Amino acid sequence: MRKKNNKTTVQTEKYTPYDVSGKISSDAFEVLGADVKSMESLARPSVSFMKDAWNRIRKSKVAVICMIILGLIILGAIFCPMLTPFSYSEQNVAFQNKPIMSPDSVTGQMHIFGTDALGRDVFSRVWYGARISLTVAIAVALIDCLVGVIYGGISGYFGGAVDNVMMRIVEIISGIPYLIIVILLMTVMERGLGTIIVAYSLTGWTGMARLVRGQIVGLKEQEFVIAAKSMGASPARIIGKHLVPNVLSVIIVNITLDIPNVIFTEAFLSMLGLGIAPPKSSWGIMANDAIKIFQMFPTQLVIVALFICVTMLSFNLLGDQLRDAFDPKLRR
Amino acid sequence: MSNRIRYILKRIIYSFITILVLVTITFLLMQLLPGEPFTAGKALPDSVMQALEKKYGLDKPVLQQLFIYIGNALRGDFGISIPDGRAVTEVIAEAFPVSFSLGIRALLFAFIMGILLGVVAAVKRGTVWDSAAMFLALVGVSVPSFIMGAILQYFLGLKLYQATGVQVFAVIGWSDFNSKILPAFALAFGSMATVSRLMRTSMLDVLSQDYIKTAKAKGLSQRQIVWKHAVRNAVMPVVTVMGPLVAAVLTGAFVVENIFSIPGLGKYFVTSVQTLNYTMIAGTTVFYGIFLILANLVVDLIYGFIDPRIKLTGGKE
Repeated sequence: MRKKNNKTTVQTEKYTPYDVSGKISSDAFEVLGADVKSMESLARPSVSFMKDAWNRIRKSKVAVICMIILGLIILGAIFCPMLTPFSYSEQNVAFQNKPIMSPDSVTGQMHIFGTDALGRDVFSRVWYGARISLTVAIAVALIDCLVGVIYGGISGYFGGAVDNVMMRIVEIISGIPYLIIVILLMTVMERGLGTIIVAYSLTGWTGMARLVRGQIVGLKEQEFVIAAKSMGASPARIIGKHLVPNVLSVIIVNITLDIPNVIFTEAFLSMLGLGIAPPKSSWGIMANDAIKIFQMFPTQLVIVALFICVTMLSFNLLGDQLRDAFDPKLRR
Repeated sequence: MSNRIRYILKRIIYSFITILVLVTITFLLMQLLPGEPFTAGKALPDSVMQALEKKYGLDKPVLQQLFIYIGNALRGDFGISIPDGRAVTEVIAEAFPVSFSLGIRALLFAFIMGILLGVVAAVKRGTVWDSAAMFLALVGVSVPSFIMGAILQYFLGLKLYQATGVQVFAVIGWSDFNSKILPAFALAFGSMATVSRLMRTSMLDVLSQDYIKTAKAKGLSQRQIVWKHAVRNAVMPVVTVMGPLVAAVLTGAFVVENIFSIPGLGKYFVTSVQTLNYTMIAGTTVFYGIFLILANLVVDLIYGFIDPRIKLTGGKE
């Protein structure tokens, strides 16, 4: 919005540009005044980084659809387990492997997705599983991000010997195959939610650390960093306040693409019996149970597979779209 | 040239350190495993226990055991799988070729199909072909291999057999050719998707280069431009993901081999994890680790040689 900073000139009646001698009379000019305040004010409202990204991501239909789907799944994971009449672990041996939309033999309430091999309600289990799977995925992605950003930030900013040592450590850690080390950790550790998150994020942060370091090495020679340094900012402040916000786009894209990987890892390890301990449910555990009886009762696998695939697909697509939205080359 | 040799040496040394770290971590984690190795059957008298512990060197301090283990591992001796008394190395030697044969099929399939899809998508950019190929790639990234395997088993193995009466694809096992198609495909699908996405980006990049314009201006046919000038250059970045892809295929086999009942190393590994057979877990882990670290090393070195633009100045990118 433009404010009053360009006042319209008031034209005087007796406007005579030249007098007889040919000099310009000073009456012809009028001091409009320079409004110092308005000179400094911004013509347009300032667009913050997040706002800018939001504006651009909103224009992509695919991204919006993905966000809606993910929003629904997250809402479902929060509320559905509270709303269903069945618990995720309650077994009914007389009522096994029922098809979708079959009313319960005791209470008559509807098993929307049917029941599994132990007569448990698949609908409750799938949403309860969504809680576990998504909690693990989001927690691990955030921890990876936090550790990676701090580690990569320090390594990139200080450079020299610090960088050399820190990056060699990363090189060695990431040289060990991720899944193998997670499997090893999971065999040793107790199978709770906390330990799963710890095991997954123990080696997963190296990718983010490398990425952030690479970006910061490129940024730290820029003028705004020198300016901050000359004003006496501490390294922690320079990294946190000046450098990291500049690589935020890379970080966000990476988190979005990290989440489906963790969902996959969780499902994969549950298949090997290294996921969360039964009777708790997660998508991986459900897939594992369903695959055993897949030849006879394919719907159970189809349901959980749909949940896993749609979630992974949405995160992957959203990540791609975010990458495009943040890409400075595509800016207009 | 000396730069190159320095780089190679550096890479080899890092790989070696990584292997040592892996062996140490594996060994120490196995010490933390719950349970004792000889408590599985009936209770043994103390004297027998001591004799057994002495035989397997379990009475020595942990650090000494670690050095013995590393020394033995370097000579290819991973100890004895306690439940069945077979040497771990022997089991690996028997089961790994099966896994390897499955993995190679999957890798070849992933590369050939991935590159084809990527090229088609890039050349026909913005058309239905592009969308179709990229949709397939996205599905590949988002459908885990075990779900893919089960679905293939159900529709192509079971349903097709019921519908036609001819067993086109065997559902389980690892014997003749028709039993090898479905597992290899299930294992390859995700990697194929990765390759095709990468190939498309890289192709688009190459196709906008000046030398492609020159080739067009010379009047070369589209086919020659694509296959002789573009693909050869665009394939370079795909080679870099070889290492991670080998890892993905190798670890993906844990589950795929289980679903298709293939007697490969992945299946042994999973069984040993489930039964806490710790010498076997440690042995296979170290073997897998060494295999993958070496595969990464080889890929890096190959990449340095085939792409003259890469300056091998070590570590710093």
